[in-house]
Amino acid sequence: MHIPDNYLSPQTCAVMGAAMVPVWVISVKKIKKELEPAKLPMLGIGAAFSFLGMMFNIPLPGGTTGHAVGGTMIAVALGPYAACISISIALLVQAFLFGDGGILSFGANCFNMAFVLPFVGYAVYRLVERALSGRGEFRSRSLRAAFARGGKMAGAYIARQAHSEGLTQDGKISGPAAGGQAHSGRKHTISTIAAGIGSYVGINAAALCAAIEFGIQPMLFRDSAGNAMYCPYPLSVSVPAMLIGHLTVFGAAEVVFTVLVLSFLEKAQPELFAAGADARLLRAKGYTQKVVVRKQPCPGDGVNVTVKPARTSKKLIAFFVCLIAAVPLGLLAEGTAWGEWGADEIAQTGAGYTPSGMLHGFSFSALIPDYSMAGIPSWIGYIFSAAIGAAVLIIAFKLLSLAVPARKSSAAE
Amino acid sequence: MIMQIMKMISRLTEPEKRRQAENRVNPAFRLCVAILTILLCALSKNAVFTGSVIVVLLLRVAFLAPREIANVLGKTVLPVLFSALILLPAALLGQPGTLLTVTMKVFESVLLLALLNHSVSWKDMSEAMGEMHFPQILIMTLDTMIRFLVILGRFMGRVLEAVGLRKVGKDDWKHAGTGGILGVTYLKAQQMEVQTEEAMACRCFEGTYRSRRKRKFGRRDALYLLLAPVILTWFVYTQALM
Amino acid sequence: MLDLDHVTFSYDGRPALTDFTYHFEMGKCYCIVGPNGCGKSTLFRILNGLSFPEKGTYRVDGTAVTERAMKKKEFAKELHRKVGFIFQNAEVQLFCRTVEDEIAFGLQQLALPENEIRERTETYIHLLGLGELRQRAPFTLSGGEQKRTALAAVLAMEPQVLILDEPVSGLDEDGEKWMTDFIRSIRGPERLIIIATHRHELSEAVADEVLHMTKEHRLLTHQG
Repeated sequence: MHIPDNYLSPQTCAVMGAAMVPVWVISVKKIKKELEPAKLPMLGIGAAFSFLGMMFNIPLPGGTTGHAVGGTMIAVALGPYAACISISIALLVQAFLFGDGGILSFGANCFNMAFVLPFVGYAVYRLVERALSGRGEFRSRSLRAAFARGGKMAGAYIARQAHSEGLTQDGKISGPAAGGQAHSGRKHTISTIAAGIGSYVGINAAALCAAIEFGIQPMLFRDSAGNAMYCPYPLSVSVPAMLIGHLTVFGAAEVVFTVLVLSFLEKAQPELFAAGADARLLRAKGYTQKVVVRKQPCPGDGVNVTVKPARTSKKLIAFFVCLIAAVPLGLLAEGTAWGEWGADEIAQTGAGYTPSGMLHGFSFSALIPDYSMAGIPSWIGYIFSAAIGAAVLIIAFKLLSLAVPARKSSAAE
Repeated sequence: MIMQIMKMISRLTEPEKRRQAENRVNPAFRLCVAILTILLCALSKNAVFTGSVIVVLLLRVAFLAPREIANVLGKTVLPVLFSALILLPAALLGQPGTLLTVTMKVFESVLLLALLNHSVSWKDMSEAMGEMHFPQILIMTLDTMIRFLVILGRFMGRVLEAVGLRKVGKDDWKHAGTGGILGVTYLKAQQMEVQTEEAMACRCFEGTYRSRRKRKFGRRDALYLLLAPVILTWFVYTQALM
Repeated sequence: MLDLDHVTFSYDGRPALTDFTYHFEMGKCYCIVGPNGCGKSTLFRILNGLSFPEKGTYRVDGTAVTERAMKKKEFAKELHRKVGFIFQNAEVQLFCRTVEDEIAFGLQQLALPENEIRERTETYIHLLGLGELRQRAPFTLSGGEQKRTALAAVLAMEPQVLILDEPVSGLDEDGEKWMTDFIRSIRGPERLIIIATHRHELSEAVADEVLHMTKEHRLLTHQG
């Protein structure tokens, strides 16, 4: 789903980038308010994890593979705002250090994968979880709390590990934690299912956004010859093309990613999911200074991960609606300007498909030396041919030196 | 998979290349010029501008060492083929121009990006972000991410190797333990995060996260910035040709 | 300097430290030895204010370190400034972009004036021979280099108390010798050093006192 440059018009990219700015600003503000400084490394971990998740190609029936974004899982673990920042940073590194996804389209990629995906995924996760669990209350904690606590438990775990090295590891969890664990078993299954569904919906929502971004290109941007300048496929092609892949292969990969990781964590480290009682236990053990993540105290539980979905989601939905309304408007306005310009050029050149011929001439000018470039000063053509010839020759020889024994290539360096 | 991870790690841990003059230019400026170029190419209505950018880039590539050339050009192969393939139906349906325009532009932008990737290290990147006054949270997230990518990447490599030793046959782990491997990695990440948190507390962390390295605006920077008007002028000129 | 009075601590009901009473004096170097799981790590966590005694009290310069007190930022800062801690695993302790930033990090948090930060950073880069590595990212360094960076970063804050958890684990022979010499060189009347170690060579070379801990998480004896 990483859109490279030149599939989308710069105008679309600008609009998407502009749309992301308030999202980023709000996210950073939220994080600053809700997360104490000591917790900040969590964001880096989220980013690293999403990056690593994207490297995992999960094999699917039929010999294909798909890669997951893991956005919903990170949203579930860290909250949607933190997920937004984490995934944005992961995308940034992919674009600038690994060449995955474009520079101009960075905003669009972030919009799809760092905004739509985690927020939609998270919203669906919460809804499903609430619906499945029936009761309204526990749901404010659940998996997210388990994750949030996961860190603390891991801390307790390390300390305990260090402490009990050399002793027999009976693996039993004594006292209140064990009780909490039995209690949370069902909750956790529900949470995992909800997270799975959320991740599926999330990645498909992201894919749909990407498809729409692609699909509006041919409507708005054509060059002088009437050819599409960017992605040539209209919505009727791009939407099914993206969604078929994501409803099946990639959607499945995302679900597999989310569910596998969550259920592994449940099995490997049930205490991570032991809800409720152990927070107090932890506090007694000296983990409290980090236990309170959020400000509002909640009786009987040191971890209060009450997210305020009602308020924020309304704002977000409103923002989202405005955005949907605004994007085509902005583009149409831009589009007319471009259309006019295009008409002039058509009048000037006169010929329908000259550009394609010219293009041909340029990229292969070394192969077709006597190709004349109509309408272009010949000196440009000469310089082009000479420069491309020289560059290609040097590159070819240097690459050849790689093929011959290593001794030679090291000498070349 | 292991190879992929190893590649990623070596990319992140490689020593900075200070030999090339270009690398002494402020990465923020390099990025700006790159963005400008890609943007103008995207806007360009004829092939002259895109073509000339490709020529210059190829010349630049020609000056690299052979292995670097293979590296940079290798990155462009897949996107270009993919773009050609994806656009083929459109060409057959009567829009042959799109195939060439878009593929050529994709080649141009991927090549430019590959060159940039090649010369920019993650340190340059977070430094540039710092200079542009991005929030410290973002910069810290970036640095922490890179650190954990390397540490967790090494860890994952070890896990994959261990799983590989236990299994017979190729790629068996994929069916067996994708969730397990990621899960173990996640646990490891959490444990390390808690320790990092404590380590930061032990050094009185209060939210300030600034780098000491400051770049001075030098002659090279000025020269490099001069590229921008040159490119812009060339763009206007080429657009007026037709 | 550091007072532990009948300190007891346990994880989930499993004891980790039982009735630990000791007075650590300024200007001395202590080595703590004992089998794995005897409670050394727990002791260090308490000394650094990362965990708190269940029973008994822990005092620094006569002031009790409690959970409530540590909640106050100023208090926590003061404690961490006084007590420096070198983790066993340096990898997790180093989190900055470059070695230089790493050393300056603590000084920046203390809000020292810029020229003092620069001065101290330089001093400790040279003291630990990190000049060549100053622009490298800590996670790309070798184990020994990471240990040195961690030492520089903590020492730059000029703590009165220095606690080292297994300082020579994972080091080769040269590294171990260097570390032993270095610890010896930083001993002084103005500094209290506490080391957990398995290596007798180290404890014999540097310790004024050796404390033995038992499997039962108790302090056994101490000898001069």
